[in-house]
Amino acid sequence: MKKRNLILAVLALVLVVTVSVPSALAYFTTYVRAAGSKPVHLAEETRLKEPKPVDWTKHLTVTAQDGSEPVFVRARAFAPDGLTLTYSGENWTQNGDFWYYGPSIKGGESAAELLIKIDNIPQDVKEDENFNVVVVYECTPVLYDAQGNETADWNGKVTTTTENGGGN
Amino acid sequence: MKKRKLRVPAYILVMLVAAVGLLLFSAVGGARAALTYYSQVYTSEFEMYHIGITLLENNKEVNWRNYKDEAWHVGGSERLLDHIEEFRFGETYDEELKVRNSGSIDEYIRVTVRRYWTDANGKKLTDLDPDLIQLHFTENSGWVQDASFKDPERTVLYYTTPVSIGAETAAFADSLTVDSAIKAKVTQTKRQDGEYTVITTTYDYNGAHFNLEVEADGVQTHNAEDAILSAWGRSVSVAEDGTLSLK
Repeated sequence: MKKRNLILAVLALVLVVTVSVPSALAYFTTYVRAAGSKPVHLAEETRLKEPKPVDWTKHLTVTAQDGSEPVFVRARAFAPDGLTLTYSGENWTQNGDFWYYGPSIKGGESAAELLIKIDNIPQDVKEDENFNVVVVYECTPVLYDAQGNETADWNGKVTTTTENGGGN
Repeated sequence: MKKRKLRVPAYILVMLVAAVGLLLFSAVGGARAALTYYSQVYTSEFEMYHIGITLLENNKEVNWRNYKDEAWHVGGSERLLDHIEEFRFGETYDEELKVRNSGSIDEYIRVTVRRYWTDANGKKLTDLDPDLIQLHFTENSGWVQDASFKDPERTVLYYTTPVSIGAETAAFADSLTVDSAIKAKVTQTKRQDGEYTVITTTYDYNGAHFNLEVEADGVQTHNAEDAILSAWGRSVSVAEDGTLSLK
């Protein structure tokens, strides 16, 4: 008897479930799908060449390595008290404390030389005497506005670590 | 011979009777609905089945799925963004997306747009921000966004008017920009290499792929409220003039 009741209960349940099957099958529907994807290739390495000064002038060259994203660069230098610095170089312009290179530097390209001349050299200075003139240079990836024009964001926060205890 | 009495609990009997009743009632209801449906378009019986839909990107057919001659006809490249040859962050590209009714019955249309990041193997990168993939949705164009979805990856839009045979919806999106802010998410290391100072920039998004996915759904306009609820799981109201609104 119990078995029969169980069968009847299951049968009733199946019928109820059958009734509740969605009637979606009765409606006409269709769909399409499409998708697209683009990879992000972002890599960047810039090198600042800073050889020994010639005629009290530093010759700085910034190069973006092959395959690098385009970057903008800027630089400034610090001199000991009493010395002054004079900057020059094609496409280098001053804005505030920094000197900015006008066009972006594409991968494999170099900026024009930035010359930093040390002025007011004391009369009694010896030829091999060192002046601690420190050059700081920064780079930032080229951004684009809605029209595709290049822009730079120098205010973005970037985490920077220095290896080998070096770096300016 | 003594007759055995069948002892079935009352609740089982009630369930059984209710189930049989419901089953019969639903069958009758279906038949009635079918009869109503077919009788209204009796002279174009074969046309009724020809529902179809086509997705267009910048006025180019990307994909379609049409029912005709008792078979589904599916075609197109199924690929979006192929028109972007040289991609640059921050730049805005044309991405006009709309839908055509390529079937033989009027239909309501909705679209589901997904934006997300994947790695080179197609694995979804959920820690990267889909909001940086900025598909610009058009305003006051007849599309209404389903605000009940709170998923930053997914946007669901309903076209508020039925689309007649061969007609197109207004564009639900018109441009795409990937925010160049992703280029600001970097880590820089600085080291001395002889007479060189070397700055290496590592980008958080390097190697990732941004993805845009669109699904367009079409459903019959007949018994639209029930059809949409049943097919799409969304309660809507359809006014007498055919205007659809979300409940």
